[in-house]
Amino acid sequence: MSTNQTVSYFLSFESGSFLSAKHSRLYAEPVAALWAKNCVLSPWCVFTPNTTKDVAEGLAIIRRTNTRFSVRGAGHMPVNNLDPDNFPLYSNH
Amino acid sequence: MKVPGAASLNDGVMIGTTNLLARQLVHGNTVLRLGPGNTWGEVYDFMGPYERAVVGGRYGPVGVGGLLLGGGVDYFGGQYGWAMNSVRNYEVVLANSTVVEANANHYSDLFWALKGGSNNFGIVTRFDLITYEVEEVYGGSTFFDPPAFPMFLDAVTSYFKPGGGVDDPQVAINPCILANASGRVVSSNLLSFHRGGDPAPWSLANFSKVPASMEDVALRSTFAVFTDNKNIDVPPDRSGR
Repeated sequence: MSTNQTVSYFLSFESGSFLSAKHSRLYAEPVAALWAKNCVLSPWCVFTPNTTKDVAEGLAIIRRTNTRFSVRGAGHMPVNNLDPDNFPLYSNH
Repeated sequence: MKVPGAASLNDGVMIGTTNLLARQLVHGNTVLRLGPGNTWGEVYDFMGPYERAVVGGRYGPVGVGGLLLGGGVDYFGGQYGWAMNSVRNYEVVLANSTVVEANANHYSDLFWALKGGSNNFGIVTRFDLITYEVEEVYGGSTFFDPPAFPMFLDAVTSYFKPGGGVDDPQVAINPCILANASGRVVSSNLLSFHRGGDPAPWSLANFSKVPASMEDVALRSTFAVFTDNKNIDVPPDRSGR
């Protein structure tokens, strides 16, 4: 499996939280609901943990596999980021 | 404000905290525990029956997490400052996956950093907000047609001058002027707010003199009634913001 598939597999397998793969509706909405089309990128998957524990376990998998990630909350103008590749962001969809 | 790439990434995992939806009043309703996936509209609806308010976003569709971590412009800024000032504890997942409570006594450096530190220091999974007793409030939306624009702008200028309405700690305004692509002003409106039962706050008097095309400004029995007012000019979605 590619790194992409491996990380997605472990995120969905090890945590009870929902993981949406590409081309699903739950993937498309948070990815696309941004201000402008050139703000839209294509993450491998969207991980929406249900509990704090799931956040911690998901983050461990992401760290172990040296995967880049972003974080989004419930929405505002998308204005904050660390760098284009790795920016935890609370602005949700 | 266009920020290409913001809030997502290529070749990696996007974590959405949208399912972290806790809403719980504790300590005799003086503290509200909130998950970052809530929107402020949901929060104010939840708080409605308690005659208490939290210092949060002015617009219902805006989310809790980003606003509180970024600072947060709110209706109570004259008294309490940025919304982040009323966060007394954060539950945070650190980069090494440990979960900590950051407050004035534990992880106080992280507590300090999260006040405006955005998303750079961990993933916040719960905010504990101080709640305030808020009874009646006054305010709403006023819309102005082009002939009234100069008077409206004069009123905005007067408001921000020393001694103007802005000196009233209980008042907040959001004046909006919309121009079309050629730069011509096509509409303007005012969102006004005043905490308390005064039906004619002095700090908003200049605006009352401007002829309005439409007005819905009144005393509201609770803060939730004010924030629920469907006539408040809220962008229906984020596409225009």
